[in-house]
Amino acid sequence: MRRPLIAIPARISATASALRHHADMTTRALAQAVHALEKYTELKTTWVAL
Amino acid sequence: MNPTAQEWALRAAGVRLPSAMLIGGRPHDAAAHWALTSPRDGAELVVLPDADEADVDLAVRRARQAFDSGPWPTLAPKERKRVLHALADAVEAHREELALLVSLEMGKPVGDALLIELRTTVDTYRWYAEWADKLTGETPEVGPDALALVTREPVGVVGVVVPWNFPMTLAAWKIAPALAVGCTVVVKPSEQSPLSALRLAELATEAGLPDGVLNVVTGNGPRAGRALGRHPGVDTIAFTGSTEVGAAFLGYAAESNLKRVWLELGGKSPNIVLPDADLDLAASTAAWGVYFNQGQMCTAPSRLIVHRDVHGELLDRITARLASIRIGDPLDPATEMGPLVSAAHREHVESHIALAQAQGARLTFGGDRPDSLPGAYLRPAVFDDVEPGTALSREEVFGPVLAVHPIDNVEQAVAMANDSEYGLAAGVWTRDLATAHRVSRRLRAGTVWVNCYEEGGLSVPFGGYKRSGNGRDKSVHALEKYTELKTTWVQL
Repeated sequence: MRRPLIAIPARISATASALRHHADMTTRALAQAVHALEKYTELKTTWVAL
Repeated sequence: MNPTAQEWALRAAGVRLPSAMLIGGRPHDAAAHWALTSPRDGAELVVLPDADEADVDLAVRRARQAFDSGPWPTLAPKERKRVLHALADAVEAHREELALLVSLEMGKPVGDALLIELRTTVDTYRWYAEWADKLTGETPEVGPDALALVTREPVGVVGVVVPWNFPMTLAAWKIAPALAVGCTVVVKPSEQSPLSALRLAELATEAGLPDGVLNVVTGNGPRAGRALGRHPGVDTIAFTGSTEVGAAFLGYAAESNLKRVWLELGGKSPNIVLPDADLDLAASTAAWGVYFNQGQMCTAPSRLIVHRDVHGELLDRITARLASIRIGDPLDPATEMGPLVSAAHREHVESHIALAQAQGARLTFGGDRPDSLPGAYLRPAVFDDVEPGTALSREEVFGPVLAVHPIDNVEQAVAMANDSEYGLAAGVWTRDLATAHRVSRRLRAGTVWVNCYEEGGLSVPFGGYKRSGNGRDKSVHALEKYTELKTTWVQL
């Protein structure tokens, strides 16, 4: 008789792995997009006298 | 020990004034010439070459040759760093001579030239010298079967066109990062401040900069500047000056080779004072912002947006301070405000004053010529209750003229501050931290100063939103203007 407790962690593990993979891909895409973002942003300097 | 007024005057009488362009490491003359006069007294200083298209072409070809075949772009980065440090050393060693040239050519008080202009110039060459051997590329993860390299390479020949109000500092903000990454440069200084640029080029040669890496052409904007902007051998233009001329350089690029054009342009910067501000400091800083460099600052806090609760008190303090400043000979170290850059520019500023009066603004202080001074002197002018939408509230004067706008709340202050075609800088004065940051976030300006003005170092970028330009000088971000990103994809 199969016990659900074994299957559930397996499913969680597979899902987590997919999430991690997606996160890796997203991070990579973001890193590669940094230079493209420069075109659509203004740099602002805020200088606060303390 | 710092020189006295008498000693500066003696030095002025004996100083060697450079009178030749430097192209390819050699002095170069032009067919035409013009006489440079000093705003200090209107006296002729020296006769200078007035470059034409052929002179500019020669300078660009020498810079092109130095980039394409010369050692500079491929030199070991630590060697470029060594030469730039040597240049910084040379500028520092000659700082009094250079401060004198700046003061003579454009009228800046020699104390400011020495302690502000020359200090920031030396700092700039040192700061970017250190970047020469610290730039790195990227190797993004692209999978097991390929190798991707993202590298930065020098963009090529850079045309540097700079104004007269900070002739050495503004040139350094462009020359230093361009040289640090391996570019070669042709500088076209303002026809009102060519001496310091010519002397800088001589010092650069002595410091070991190879021939053709830094060239200087002198002449007028419509001919020499235009020729540089339209030259197909120039890869990038780095310009500081008026919005109108900046727009012309965009046109030159479109008409020629689509060279990159980086612009630091005009401003009509708001300075917001809220009721809880330190009024003493806000007033002394606002007054300083009117007369410093004779008001000839792209970042000048020329629109004072002040809460009605403190309007009268603040204005009284500003007026009292302006009434006490010492206007006089820029070669006197005690002088706080010298002459404007030229008699013609003084007339231009006076025309703004006359127009403001005609449009109903209330002149509460100054705006007249001091008695018994021979040069292009003008007392600071303060206009109160300036109507939004009038010329004085919208147009850059580039002189010591303050427009005061009373407001009733923060919302009104932010709306008025942003109601400008410019977006270079802004100031906010309040003791409330949250208000300071909330207002700062909403201001459409490249720099916001909180409880101060004109502060900053080399590590922070400087440049504008909207019609104040694009790109940034200073900081690591300036290096982006002088490099191209290259992707090399290697299939494994």
